[in-house]
Amino acid sequence: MSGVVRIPRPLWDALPADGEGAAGLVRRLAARGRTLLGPARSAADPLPRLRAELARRAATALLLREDVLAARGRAAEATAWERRTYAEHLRLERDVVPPLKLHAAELRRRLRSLEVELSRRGVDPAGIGPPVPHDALAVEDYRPPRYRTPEERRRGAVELFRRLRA
Amino acid sequence: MTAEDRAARAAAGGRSPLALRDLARHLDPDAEGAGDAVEVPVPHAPGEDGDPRYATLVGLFDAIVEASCRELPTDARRREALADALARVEALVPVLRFELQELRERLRQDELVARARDREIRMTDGWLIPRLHRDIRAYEDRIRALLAALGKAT
Repeated sequence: MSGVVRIPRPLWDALPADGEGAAGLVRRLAARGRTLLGPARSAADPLPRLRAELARRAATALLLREDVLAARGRAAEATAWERRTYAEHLRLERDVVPPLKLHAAELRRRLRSLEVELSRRGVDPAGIGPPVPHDALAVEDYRPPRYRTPEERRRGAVELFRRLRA
Repeated sequence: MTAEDRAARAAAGGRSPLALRDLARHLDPDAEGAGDAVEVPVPHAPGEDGDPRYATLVGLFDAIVEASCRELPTDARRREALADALARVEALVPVLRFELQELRERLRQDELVARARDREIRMTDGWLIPRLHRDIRAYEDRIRALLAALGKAT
């Protein structure tokens, strides 16, 4: 198993190099880190302890920083996906489905009045023509949703307060 | 690491010690140029537990901090600079943890909403709209037949 670590350029540039290649440098740093993370040695001098503590905390912070940067990218993608589905959902629910349902409801009303008219004339409509599908969608009481723009909403609120004051 | 990075390191002799007070700034994801980073592959040591990147980074920061400390004249100044850098880094860690938590929560919620809405869109597109078209065709056929019957009945 291996991983990739992203090191901010100013930190990379601050690394003391011994003329070795990247692979050798990383091996040396990993060995140094493992030593620091190993059993603690004598604590007579506080400086190495402070230095080791800073190295550990900074390593934690850098890993967190990388996670934050990656999470920001993923969160931005998820937000864009959410916005896309919102726009598509709104288009369907505002521009596509309501006109179809209203048209279907109008046809249903027309059909009902023709059936009543035929019955009034003594003809049983049940035996005439193709029947209405038994699983037809109920549309008679359909009311299209009302979408308001922010401006309409604002005007509505102003109007409400005007009425309340009156 | 790109050839360019290697060349830049070689040109600089890999040596431009960092002021310890600036260490936390370079760990801040909102710092200027935060996206500019060098990608380094980290091998996993046999028998090593946990994230192989962590040990490498601890080594990296120890090397950087050691080089920075060498620039300071006395142990007292080193202690002071180390304590100050440590305080700055420690102040940054909870902020990063909080943001990460928040981003993960936002990601979870946005994905949840988008997935549910996506299902609804597929349902509307693939079932509701075709079904409404089918019903409308059936109503129109029946209206034509009823009108014809009404014509005959008159």
